[in-house]
Amino acid sequence: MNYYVIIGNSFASVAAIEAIRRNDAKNPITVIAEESRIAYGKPLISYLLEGKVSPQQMTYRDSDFYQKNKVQLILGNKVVEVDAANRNVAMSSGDRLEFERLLIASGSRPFLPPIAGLNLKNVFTFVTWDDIEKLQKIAAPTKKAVVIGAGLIGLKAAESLTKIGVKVTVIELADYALSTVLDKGSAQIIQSVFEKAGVNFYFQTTVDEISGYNKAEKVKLRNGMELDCDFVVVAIGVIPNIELVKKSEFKTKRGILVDQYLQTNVEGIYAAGDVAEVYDPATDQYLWRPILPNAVRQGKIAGRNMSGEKVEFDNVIALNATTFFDLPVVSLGMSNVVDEKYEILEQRNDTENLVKRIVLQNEVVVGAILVGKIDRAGIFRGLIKNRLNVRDFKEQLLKPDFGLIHLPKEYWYKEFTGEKI
Amino acid sequence: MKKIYVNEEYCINCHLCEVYCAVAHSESKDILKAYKREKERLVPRLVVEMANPASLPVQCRQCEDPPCVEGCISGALVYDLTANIVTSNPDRCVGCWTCVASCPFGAIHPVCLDGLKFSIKCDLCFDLELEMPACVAACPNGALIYEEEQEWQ
Repeated sequence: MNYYVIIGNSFASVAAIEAIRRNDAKNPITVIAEESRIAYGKPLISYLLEGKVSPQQMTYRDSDFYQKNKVQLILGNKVVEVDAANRNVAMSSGDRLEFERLLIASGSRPFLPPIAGLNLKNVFTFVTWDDIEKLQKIAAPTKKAVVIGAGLIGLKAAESLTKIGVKVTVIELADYALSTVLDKGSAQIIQSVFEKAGVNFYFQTTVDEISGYNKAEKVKLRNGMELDCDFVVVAIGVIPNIELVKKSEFKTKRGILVDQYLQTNVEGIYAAGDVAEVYDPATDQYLWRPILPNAVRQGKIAGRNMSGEKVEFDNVIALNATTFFDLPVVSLGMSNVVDEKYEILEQRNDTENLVKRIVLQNEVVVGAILVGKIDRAGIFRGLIKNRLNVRDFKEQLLKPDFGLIHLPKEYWYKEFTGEKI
Repeated sequence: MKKIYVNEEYCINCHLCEVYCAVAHSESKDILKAYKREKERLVPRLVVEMANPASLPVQCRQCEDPPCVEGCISGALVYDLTANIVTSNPDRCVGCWTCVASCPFGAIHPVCLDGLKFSIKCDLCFDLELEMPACVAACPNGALIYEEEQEWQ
């Protein structure tokens, strides 16, 4: 009997396995995944491409992880259908597998816009290890690449390609890079770092056509320009892999709808990670937030609930952190808003690539951006999460030594002293 | 499970906890040798915050449900179920700083040494065979204590 079946083998899946095994050491867990690899750090692929991380360092957990947690792995096999009524899943191999409890963590895949010539050779995406192995066959010094999309994935692709000597041009429809998480000023600092490294940007335009003889050789932009290239990377965004539930009575919007316990509308079937759209009681709406910390948190909560607990998912605030050519960048919460109802506190030094930008609404921190110096950035995440009123110490927020000590004692006293105030 | 707690009114802002933390995690483990030969590599895993006249030593709270581990892209951060602490493996860390942006206490710190980027945090000196964490042993005024976790009402 397959008690727990988990579709997918990435962050949400691993978190669910760990959570289940803390409650239930005995009942078997079966993991089915399309990729033929054990779980690896997907965001590490850009580091793999530039050679900073070796294939051996890609694994997300120790090599004995599945054995230790008594997990049966079925890899290289895609679940094509979840049959809710008969409580089984159908795999691309033709086999069916019954389950008692199911977690759908099938993730997302790159969104491919309707561009002519996408089917040509040397057009790549940038989300899996396989994508990197394909890219490694062509990405080399003096080659020319066009990256479509200046979001986090597009820029990490552009950075790693540049580091191995590829001449990169980035095309972005918005009027600046990273527009979903940064304000324009912060983004321009990042852009200048890329430009110094030799990357070209074209904004407010997109690729209408990729052309070439069998393989990508040229892209045509909407603004009329034409660029020669050896390959193209499409990095516009991701869409959830929900096709597998379409034949059953599952509720879906963009993702598979789940309640705050991560359960779908079918008893005993849960969804977590990029495939899930999660009910948020605070705002009475469903939220789809395909970021890694969200996937892990959801996998963990789903795993706990599948194994006998009843725990609510507390919506993870948006969080992105990375470095671009060693420049650290952190965005938290509603970081890119420009509306008048928000108060912005900001320090910026364009020559030293430093930004500290705090977004307030009604004396509560709702977002933050830190560029250059990011030590202790998490304190702002705590302020956002706990909706602490900062009126009495607002002038401290931008100071370089801002810390817990500037906050009301009640905020930290219990945790640090072990006593009530 | 034992934790480091703070008697913040006893903290005299001397920063000896930072010094002894860095030395305990140095190669030589000897304060004179460490400061002579490894000075640029001496990084404390806790910080003493200051707001005159008050000061507060801040170190990892070893959360049981740690947001830093949830955000880790490489698997460098894990909750060690045997030692009941959050550990950071510098060999796996690539320095993306998601953990730094996740910790509500600001208790994980970014480090860049020899061109390598990795995060560091308090590990309660768990593998150093000490009677108690080095910061607690070094505190001259009893501002840091190491004791069993309190049960909360």
